[in-house]
Amino acid sequence: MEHNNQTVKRKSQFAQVIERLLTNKGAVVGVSILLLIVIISLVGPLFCPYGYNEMILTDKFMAPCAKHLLGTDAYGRDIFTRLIYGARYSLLLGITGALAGMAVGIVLGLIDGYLGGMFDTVFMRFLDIWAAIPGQLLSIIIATALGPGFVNTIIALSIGEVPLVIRLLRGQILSVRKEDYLEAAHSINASPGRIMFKHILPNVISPVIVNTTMNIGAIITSAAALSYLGLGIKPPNPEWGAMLAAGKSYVGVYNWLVLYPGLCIAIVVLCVNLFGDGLRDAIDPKMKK
Amino acid sequence: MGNNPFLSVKDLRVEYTSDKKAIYAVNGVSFELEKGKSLGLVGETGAGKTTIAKSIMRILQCPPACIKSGEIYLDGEDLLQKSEKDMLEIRGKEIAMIFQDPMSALNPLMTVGEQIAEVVATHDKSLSKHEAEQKAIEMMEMVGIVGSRAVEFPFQFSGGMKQRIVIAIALACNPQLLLADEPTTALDVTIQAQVLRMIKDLQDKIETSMILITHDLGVVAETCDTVNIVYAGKILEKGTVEEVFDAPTHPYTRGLFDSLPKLNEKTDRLTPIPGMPLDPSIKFEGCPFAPRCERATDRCRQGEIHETHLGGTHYCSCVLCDQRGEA
Amino acid sequence: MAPVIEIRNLKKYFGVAAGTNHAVDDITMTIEKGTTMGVVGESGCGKSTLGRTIIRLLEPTAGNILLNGEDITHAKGHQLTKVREKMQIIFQDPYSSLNPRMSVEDTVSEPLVISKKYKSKAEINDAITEIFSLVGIDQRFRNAYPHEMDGGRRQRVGIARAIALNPEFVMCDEPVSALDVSVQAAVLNLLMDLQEQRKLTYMFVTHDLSVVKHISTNISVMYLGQLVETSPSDELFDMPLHPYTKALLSAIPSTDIHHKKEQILMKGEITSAINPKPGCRFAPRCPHATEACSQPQALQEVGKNHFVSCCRVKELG
Repeated sequence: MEHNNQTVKRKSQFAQVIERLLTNKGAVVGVSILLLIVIISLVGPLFCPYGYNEMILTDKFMAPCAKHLLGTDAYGRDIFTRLIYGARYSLLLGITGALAGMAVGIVLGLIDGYLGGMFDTVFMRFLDIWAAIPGQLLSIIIATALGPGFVNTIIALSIGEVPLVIRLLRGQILSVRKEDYLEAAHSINASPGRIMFKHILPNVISPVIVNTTMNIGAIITSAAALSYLGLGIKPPNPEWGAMLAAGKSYVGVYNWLVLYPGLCIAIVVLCVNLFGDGLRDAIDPKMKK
Repeated sequence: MGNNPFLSVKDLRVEYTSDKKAIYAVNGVSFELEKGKSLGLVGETGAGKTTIAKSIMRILQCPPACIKSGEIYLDGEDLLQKSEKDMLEIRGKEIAMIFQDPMSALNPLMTVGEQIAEVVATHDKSLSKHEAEQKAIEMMEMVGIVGSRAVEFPFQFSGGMKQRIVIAIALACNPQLLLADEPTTALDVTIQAQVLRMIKDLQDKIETSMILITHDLGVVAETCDTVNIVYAGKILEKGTVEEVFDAPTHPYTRGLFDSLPKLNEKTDRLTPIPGMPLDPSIKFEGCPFAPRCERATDRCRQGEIHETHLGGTHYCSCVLCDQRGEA
Repeated sequence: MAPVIEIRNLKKYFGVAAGTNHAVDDITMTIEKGTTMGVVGESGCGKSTLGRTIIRLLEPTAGNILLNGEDITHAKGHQLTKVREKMQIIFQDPYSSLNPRMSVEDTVSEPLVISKKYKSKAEINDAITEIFSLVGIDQRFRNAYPHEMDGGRRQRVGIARAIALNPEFVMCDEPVSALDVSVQAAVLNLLMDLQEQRKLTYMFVTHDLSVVKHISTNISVMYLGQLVETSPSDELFDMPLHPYTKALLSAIPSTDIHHKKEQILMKGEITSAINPKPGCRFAPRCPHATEACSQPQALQEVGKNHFVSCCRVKELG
């Protein structure tokens, strides 16, 4: 605790979290693979010999070989190429979906936690109804109502996450509300916005961040499910879930159609969860001591 | 000092491991306690008082908290050599401990009568269920709670009452040694006075020896016969309450007395002890108080500081009294 | 000397499941400029609630609060902002009173930033440097976070935040109860030095009677929401008059081993101030209680600045 007369260096808590995160092997492996996938999805297309929608009808259902590394689909499109392009959609859907749900949840959760009282009672009942509908089902309903498309898919994917974020945040806020520093903030005339965003939010957000990270994996899977049902990204855009859906009819005969997209989804979900686990440990080692 | 003290602790050392770092909690503590007497262990937060008590009770979990060396003789037998099975017999029957927070020591889902009876029954298997319950009611009356409340649950009692029940449980088997860890710190002064008086009366009645852990010198003055001043896991001064309170000798003991506001004299300014307690993860040499002591010399920072006998049972571990007989 | 704080018949009730908690019931007191009013009493006597109601962190149920003669009982908006700049609070728990995610510098500068009294970052910076040296925090701790400091230093940060805007009145809510004695002495000295330098007026809420005697000019004793006795500090210890004050003072464990005082051990436990019966709330535990004690009690003046709320005070002497 004592600093032996050294000036305490400005070291943001963010930097400390990153430092701890880097000592976690699982998280480092997870992040490295994710970064690799992101780089490939950005740079990869430059080196791809084929376009993602380039149909080579003579090469239909070709098994993995030297010409087509991971084989081709029913229209003779190169699966490797489509997977590289698809990574953009899948990752983007997963990350923006999770972030959008978190942002909406945080705003609503903070307002609810700050106001409390009557508002809280009513809002919680409303939330009970919201949360009573399974997330997946809700996504399907919204996606059906809004129709396919990138933005619509994000709305559909994130909506199920919102009540979970609010619940999580509300519990945290309840435990922070009796802390003296909030009373101190009132006594120095801090505005409600300042109290919410400067005094409450930083002290309650860690579990939400961790939870959201863990959710990215689930949302990618949901996105895949939506595409599988034909509700997500419009064909012929290569989204991993959509590719999986297209390949479903040929599962017994041309297994590479489902094997490689499925494997990609599994790897990303695994990496994201490894990262989420590491992040949880890094953010919350009981505030260092 | 008697030839065969009832409790004698010799050169006790306890280390914790936390974040792969060693924490030196108790660093060679020796003291003795006679039958039926009370000893006050006084020190500030982190001085190692509770660790000493837990070592006697043998309830430290190793790892992280390991007893590195030492002997603890209770009635001539070394507790540290006992098997866990023997200790189960000894705990409760011969040694009992009271903790600071009475709420966490009581099971919220059992009536207080059942909780006392349970302890009675485990240590005296010859008793029938009814007899154990009868004994429980007796114990409650002894700590000043009407027996009819035995059927109530802990939440129905106030803090002071709960502490009385905890004491009743601790004393249920007439232990020979009572370890009381800040038993009244969470209580209000008027309730504290009641509880301390009660502990003292019971102690006289059943001839229990007691170690009272506290940071409050006033509580020691009211309840104890002898006192040990603990700092950084070492005993810096010990003696009877009269010896230590009339002639506090170690600079730390004096510092403690000086920093207390006095009730019976007017002081304009208090004299705090400068500096901060020692980082317990650093193994110190010499006197642990030297970094904060105004009279420290090079001699204080090296080698072992020996206890100096100041007369009677009064001992002080300071080079100043070693040189001149007194500081 | 002019009174900084005057409260008249102040009440603060809370609705609880079992009824109404009369946490602060009909309390009148005056605190003069530059003095310290010690408020003592056991847990649940309403001493913290009283302090928080005075500085307007809680809404009073009835009565009046005057700051420098101005009625601030129902101050709102701009007036409340001004009032809060003049009245500050120091908390008991140095862990809970600081935002763990804010550096020490951010915590101390926040009131300065909010007040908009400083024009530039440099001015705020200079002000913080001055406050730090005033409360005795080394400048090297500016960027430290609360968990990197010990309890005594944390408490100094809490004090720095409270005095940053140069308030007139500071309500100290058990500011040294969580500290070890050696650290406690240093913090008490600091509070007394600040009072002298800045002519601060304190309300010092505590359960520790030796601390309150040391720091206070006057002392008020509370029992279950009621004021039972108020008196100049020394006089209260020399000549306590209310039976509760006497019992309370006799219960303090003293380090003076040669002059053991006779303890007045009270029967029973502190009950609660929920739906209380009229009259003296101490009566059920009081050895001198009579019929008359169940009538509402008035504060009687028994000496200069010495008031007692006990109908039998003259007989009991």
